[in-house]
Amino acid sequence: MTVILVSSDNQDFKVDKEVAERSILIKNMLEDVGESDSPIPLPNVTSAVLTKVIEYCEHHRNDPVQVPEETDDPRKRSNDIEEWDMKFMQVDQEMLFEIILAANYLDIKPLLDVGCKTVANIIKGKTPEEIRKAFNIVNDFTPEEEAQIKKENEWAEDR
Amino acid sequence: MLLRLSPFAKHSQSLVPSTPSSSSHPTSPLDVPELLQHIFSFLNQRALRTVLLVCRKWLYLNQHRHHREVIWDVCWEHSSSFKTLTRLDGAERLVLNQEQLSWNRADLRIILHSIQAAKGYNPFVLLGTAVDTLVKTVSRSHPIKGFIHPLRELVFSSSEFRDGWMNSLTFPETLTSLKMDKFWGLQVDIARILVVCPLLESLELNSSYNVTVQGPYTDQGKNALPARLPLRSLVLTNLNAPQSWLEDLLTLTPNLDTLKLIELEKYIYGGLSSPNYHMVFVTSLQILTISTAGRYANRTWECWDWVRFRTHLQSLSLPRKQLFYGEYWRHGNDLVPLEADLTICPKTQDRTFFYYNLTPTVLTFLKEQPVFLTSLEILQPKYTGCVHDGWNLHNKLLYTARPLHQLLCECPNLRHLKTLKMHYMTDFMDVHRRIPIYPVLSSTDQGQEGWLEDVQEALPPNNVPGIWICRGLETLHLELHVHDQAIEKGKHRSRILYGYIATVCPQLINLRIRFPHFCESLSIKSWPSKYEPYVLEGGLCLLSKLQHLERLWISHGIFVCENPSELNWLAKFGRTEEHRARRREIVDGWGSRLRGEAMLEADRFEKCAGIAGEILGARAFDEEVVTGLENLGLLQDVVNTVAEMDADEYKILPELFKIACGVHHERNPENEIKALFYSPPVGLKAKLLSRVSTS
Repeated sequence: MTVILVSSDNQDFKVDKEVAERSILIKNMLEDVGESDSPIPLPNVTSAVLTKVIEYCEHHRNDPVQVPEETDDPRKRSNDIEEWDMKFMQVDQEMLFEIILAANYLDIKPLLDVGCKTVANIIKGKTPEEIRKAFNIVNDFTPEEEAQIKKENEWAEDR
Repeated sequence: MLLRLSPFAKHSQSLVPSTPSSSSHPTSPLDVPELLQHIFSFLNQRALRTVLLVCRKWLYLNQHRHHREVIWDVCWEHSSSFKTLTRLDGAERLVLNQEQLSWNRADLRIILHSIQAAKGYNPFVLLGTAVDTLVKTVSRSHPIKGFIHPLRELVFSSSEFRDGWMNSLTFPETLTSLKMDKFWGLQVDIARILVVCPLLESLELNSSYNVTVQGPYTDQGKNALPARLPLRSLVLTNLNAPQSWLEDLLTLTPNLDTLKLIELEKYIYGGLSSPNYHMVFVTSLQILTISTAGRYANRTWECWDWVRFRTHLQSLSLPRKQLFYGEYWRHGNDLVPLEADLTICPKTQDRTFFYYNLTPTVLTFLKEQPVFLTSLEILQPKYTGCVHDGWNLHNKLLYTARPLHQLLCECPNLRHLKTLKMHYMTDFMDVHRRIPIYPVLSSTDQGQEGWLEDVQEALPPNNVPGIWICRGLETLHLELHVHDQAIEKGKHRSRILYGYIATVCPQLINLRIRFPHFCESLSIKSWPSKYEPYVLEGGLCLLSKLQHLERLWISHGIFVCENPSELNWLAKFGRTEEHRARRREIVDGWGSRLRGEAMLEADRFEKCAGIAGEILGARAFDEEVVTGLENLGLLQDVVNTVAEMDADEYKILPELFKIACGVHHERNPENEIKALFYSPPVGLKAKLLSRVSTS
């Protein structure tokens, strides 16, 4: 069985129901509506992004459904991205951000995780200034505040 | 003094975090606090410290993740103690190790009383008397009125502090985690702690003798104890308390998901007939003595009833993610944890066992579970020495290490492993079976005589096929056993251990290896170990390729490493050309031994090329593992690594920020290496320090 997804720029995407249901949002919508041929509008996702998202869901169509993590581990890992996923995420920053937003909107947890891990990996190893530059963030600290936080950081490092 | 920064203090026009419910569609996940938090959750402490400096919003969103820890360890040298005191007020997690100091001196009590009476909470309350001179000295230049940040976690261990003192100590009410270790018996009013610290989520009390309790319904406790406690984890070692006491407590802890009763004393002498009754529980041995004397003739025996306890637990509908209870005198064939887990925690991903419980039956059970095991802890009862662990059972292979090794070869999802006293582990790691044929190369200080002795003493090979498949392992705490031939016979064994871990578990974040330096055998004979885990030849540098390792703890009772260059590659200052050259000098001195090794290797290669298929198993197609283990155990492996470390692009443990080479707490690598090769102060510094210590 197939379903039709409509992107924000009005493009239709015909995909297997099994693939579309990787998105919990779509899965719940289909369950609510029941058997229906009506296209599903996705006003927050452009066709370019939806193409990528569908590509991801196609590749992972047979993955076991992820059980919500109940781990108390305060720290999660960002270095366990699968090779295919890593290549899939080799896109420009704008697309990376769009994919994360779409994964969040469509409720595709594994895709959201991979996207966020990719951003975390971009942050790692950079200086604050490099991070600001990479993400176009304005430094809104006063020099005194910045000095103060640096001092605290030194405190944490030097033990 | 450090101040807590308010992110919106001076910039009222600063970004107000948007929410996903806001009507406009965000263009970046960095504008959505929930998504930002999700991204930050994948960062380690080092990256978080950088992130705090990016902008006010990022600081605001990460404050709670930033982990401010102060460790006071008396094993550290004087200057560190001074430094620790000056930063004490910034701690959120405070670790106090007062192993060799007395907490009972009169001046400490005076200090404690005066501080407790004062407004606010002073961190010096928690410090021992032996440091009071230092405290006074520091106080003059760094007056401390209280903690700047709320103190959340407190850990302290000591061989001696008076229970009365501890039971009247004003714990900070902000505590969420409290851990106390005491070598001697600990008699504790747990109810009082729960009342004083209403936010407490984790409580761990350990004693080598027994943790006895004053019932939860003491005069103060009974009325003050709330109907619900936020406690999520309760760990008690050597608990000696009536079953009803714990059952009552559990009715107040609806969120409790972890309960560990380690070495619980099943037989209790006495009863809680009176709420004001001050319980005195004793160990089994003491019971025998006291019973004979008839001092407690009017009291009754009480015995823990596990069936009743399980029924009680199930009736409470607790989250029950982890339950462990092991009794004090249980041995061998006891499958209580298995039964308990089957009925009480069927879907847990975390398991704890006593090491003799990890039987083939339990192993089969674990493999059949629908839920992947991600965390495994193997404990060793304190009073089971070599007699009980089977070493002397007619050379019979212990069944602890073998099933564990098999489990690690078949359990790809394991993330955290903590084991104690693992025999033969390095034999299992010896994938090329080099140990039996390399005794002559084992150590520079063992001559031909030692080699002959080794051969005569050698046990039949205990090798088990397989290579660990838990490639994602993040935590590994491993304690080896002195009777392990691997430790006894020389340094090539440590190269096997280090080389194996570095290749097979590349994702490690936290590694602790404990090498025992002596052990009491059946004949109560002390066996000093010839093991030197810190020198270059021992192969510690093989771990240098671990790219995610943040904490490293290598413990051996005796620190042997005379040349700082052999070990100081762990610190940045030890990676200069000068130290590299010194390391190359050491390596150059191994020429004849390397030639001997190459000859033995050529001979071995004729008989058996590469790693046997049965050993490689599932890892046969993992090129990284096959290549990485090629020189496992050889001195040549160290030579190659030393050469690699000399290259500027080779990143030596880039994430490492805490290390300990010894039994003390970990600290930053630079401080640790400086302290290990610490030379006595001279001149003014020496005078000042001697004045402080004598005044």
